[in-house]
Amino acid sequence: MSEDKVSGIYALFVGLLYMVAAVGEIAGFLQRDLIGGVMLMVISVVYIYGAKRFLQKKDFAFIVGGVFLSVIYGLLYLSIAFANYLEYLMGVKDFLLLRELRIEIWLMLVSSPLIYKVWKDIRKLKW
Amino acid sequence: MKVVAIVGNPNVGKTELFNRLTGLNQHVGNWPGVTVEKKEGKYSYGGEEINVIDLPGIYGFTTRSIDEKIAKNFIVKNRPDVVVDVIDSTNLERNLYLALLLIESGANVVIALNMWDIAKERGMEIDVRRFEGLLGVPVVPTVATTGEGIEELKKAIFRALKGKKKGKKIKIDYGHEVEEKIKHIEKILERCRKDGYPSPRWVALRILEEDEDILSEFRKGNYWKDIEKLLDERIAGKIVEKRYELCSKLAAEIIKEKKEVKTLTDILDEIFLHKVLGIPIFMAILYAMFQFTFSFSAPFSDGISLFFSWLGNIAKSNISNEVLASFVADGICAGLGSVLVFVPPIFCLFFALSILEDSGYLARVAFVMEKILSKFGLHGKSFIPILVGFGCNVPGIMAARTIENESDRIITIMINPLISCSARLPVYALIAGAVFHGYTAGAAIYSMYVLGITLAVLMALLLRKLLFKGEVSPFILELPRYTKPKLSTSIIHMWNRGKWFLIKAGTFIFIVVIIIWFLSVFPWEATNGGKIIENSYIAMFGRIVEPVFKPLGWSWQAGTALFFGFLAKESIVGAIGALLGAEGEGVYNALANSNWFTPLTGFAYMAFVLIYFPCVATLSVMLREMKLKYTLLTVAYTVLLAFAVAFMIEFIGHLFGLS
Repeated sequence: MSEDKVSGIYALFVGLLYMVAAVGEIAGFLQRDLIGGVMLMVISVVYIYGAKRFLQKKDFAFIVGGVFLSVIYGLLYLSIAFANYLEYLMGVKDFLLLRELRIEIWLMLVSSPLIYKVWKDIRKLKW
Repeated sequence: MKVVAIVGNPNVGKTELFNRLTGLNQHVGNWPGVTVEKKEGKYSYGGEEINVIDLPGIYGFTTRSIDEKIAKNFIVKNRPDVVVDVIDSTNLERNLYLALLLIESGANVVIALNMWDIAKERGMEIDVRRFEGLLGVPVVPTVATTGEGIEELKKAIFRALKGKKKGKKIKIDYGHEVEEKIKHIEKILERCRKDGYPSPRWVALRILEEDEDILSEFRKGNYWKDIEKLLDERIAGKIVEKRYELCSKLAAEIIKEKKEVKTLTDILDEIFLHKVLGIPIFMAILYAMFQFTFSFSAPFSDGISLFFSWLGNIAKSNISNEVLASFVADGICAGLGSVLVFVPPIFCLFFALSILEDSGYLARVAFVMEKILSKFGLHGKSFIPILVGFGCNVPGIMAARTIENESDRIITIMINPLISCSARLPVYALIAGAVFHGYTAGAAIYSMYVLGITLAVLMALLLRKLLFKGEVSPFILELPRYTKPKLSTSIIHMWNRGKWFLIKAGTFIFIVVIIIWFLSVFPWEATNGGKIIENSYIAMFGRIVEPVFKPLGWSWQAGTALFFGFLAKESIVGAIGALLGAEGEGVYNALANSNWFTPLTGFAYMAFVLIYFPCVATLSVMLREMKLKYTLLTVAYTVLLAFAVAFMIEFIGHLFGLS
C-alpha cells in the first residue's frame, strides 16, 4: 500500500475517532461538554471529508484543515490544564491530572503521524 | 514643509510603509479598511522635513464611500508634493488602474512596488526599469514588512520633491470618440474656469465618468445644459475599459515571467473559504478563542484578586479611622480590584484576535459570512465592522465608512452595538465564573458572542424590511495573503488595544467605584459603617429601579449596577464589586456566595448587558456617523430588545425546569 493511501486511511480513522469522542461529550459518556462536543464533530467532518478528497483526488487541503484544528484544540486544553495547575498551586482549585487531560489532548496525540506528514509537506510551500 | 501622501488599493501595506517611513507605530491590520481616516507622521531626509499622510485604501476616484472621498479630495484638492502609490507586486495588473488615475491627475507620483519578496517567491519577475520607462515615474521595489527598499524609496521621494523627472509621463489615448468629447468639454471649461482642479482634461474625464462631486459643481452653473448633453453611460464605460486594456498591456510588458506555483495561501483558502465547512470551521476557531480567553487567564485573574484581597485586609487591620479603612478596603481595593481582575481575559482576547487578524484569517471570515449576511440584508463588508466591534464598538462603527451604500452603512452602524465588545467581557466573565462551573462558564461566554451576532443579523433583516428597503449592493473584498503571525507584533497589538482598559480602570472606572462606595456606605451611622447596605443612599436609588428589574428576578443591586453601565460597560463589574464589598473573598466568590443570581437569571443578565443601551462613547460616535433619529432608534430598540431577550431566556429556561 502506498504511503499516500495509508495517510488517507489514517485520516479517516482519526476522523471517526473524533466522531466517537464528539458523541461521547455530547451524550455525557466523557466529560459532558455540549458545545465542546459539537466542535469535535466539526473536526471529525473536516478529517473525514479530507480523507475522501485525498483518496480520490490526492488533494490534502482538508487533512491540513483537520490537523490545524486538532493542534489548536489539543494545545488549547493543554494550556487550560496548565492554567488549572497554577490555580491549584495558588490554592484556588482542585487539580486531578487525569480529569485535566481531556480527550482533545489524546486525539491530538493520535493525530501526530498526520501532523508530522502535513508539517513535512507544507514546510516546502511558499506563503 | 513638504507633504507626501501614501495611497494605494486596500491591503497593499500602506500603513506598514507609513510606519517604516515615519518610525511611528500605527495599527497595521491584515484586512482591508484598517485606515478609515488619514493619519500623519514626519521624517527628515537630505535636510528636508517631510510630512507623510497615510490615506485610506482606494481602487479609483469614484467617490462612493467616505474613505474614498477622503483620499480623492486630499490628492486632488490639497495637491501633496509627492504621491506614493503603493502597489501590490503580486497583483500588479489590477493595482495599475489607480496608478494610471494618479498620473492622469497630474500628481507627482512615485510608485512603491511593495510585497516584492512575495512576488519573487511566486516566480514573478518584474522589469522595474521597463516599468519606469513606460509610466514615466520612479518605481522602487519595497518590502514594507522587513524595511527592504525603504531607503531607496526615501531617495526617490526626495528626488521627486526636487523635481527630477523619470521621463515623459504616460498619456492615455481614449480613442477618437472619447477624445472629441474631452476636447468639447475642455472648451466649455475655458469659459467657466473652475479652480482647484488638476487640469481641464482631468476635469473633462471626471465629468464624462459622471463623478458626482464634479457634476454637482456644474449643475448650478450656466453651462450645465451643454455638459449634460455630453453625458453618456456608454462613454463612461469606454473610458474605464480603455484604462483596463492599458493595464493589461502594461502588465504583459512589465512582468517577464510568471510560473504557476501552488502556495500555502491556495491550500488554506480551499479550507477556510469552503462553501459548507468554512463557517463551522470559523465557529470552532471562535470557540477555541473564547475558551482560551476565559480559562487560560483564570490563574492570572486569581492572582490579582488575591492581591487586592490581601491589600484590603491589610488596610482594614492597619487603618484605625473606620471611614478611611472602609474607603481603602471596600472602595479602592474591592472596587478597583474587581475591575482589574479582568485585565488578563481582555489581554488574552486581544492576543488571540491579533493572531487571527495578522494571519489574514479574519478577512476570510468576512468572505465566508457574506453569503449568510446578504440573505439577512447585510452587506458583506459589514462583517469587518462587526469583527472590529468585538474589540470596541467605536472603531467598529468607524469601520462602516468603507461601505459605499448609505443604507448598508446605516444598518451596519445600527446593529454594531449588539456586537459584544471587550468591555462586556468582564461582566460575562464575572457572572459566568460565579454561577457556572468548569467549561460551561466558557461556553456561556461563547454563547453571548454567538447571540450578539445572531441578534445583529436578525435586526439587520428587520431594518432592511422596514426602514431601508432595497437590494444589498454588490460586495468585492480584497483577500490578503496569509502570513505567519509574529509573536512580537501580536503582543504589540494586544498591548495597544488592551491598554485603554488599564487607562479607563485607573481613571474613569476608579471615579465610578469611589462614587458607588460613597453611596453604599453613607449615611455612615444608618449603614453601620457600610455593613447594612439596605440603609444606604444607593439602596434608596435601588428601590426606585427595583420594580423595573424585579420581574426578571434580579436584586436591586444587580439592577443598580446596570445604570453605571450606561457610562461604560466595565463599570458594571466595578459597581458589583463595590456593592458586594468583596474585599476579603474576591469578587467571584463574593458573587457566587451571594444570592443575586441563579444560573438562569445570571445568563439572562449577561444577555441584557450584551444588548441594552450603547455606552456613552458609542453613542457619541453614532451621532457623528448618522442622523439623530437613527441613533435614538438604536437606543430604543436595544433597550426593548434587551428586556425581550432576557424575559425570553428566563421563560424558556423555566419551561425546561431550569432555575
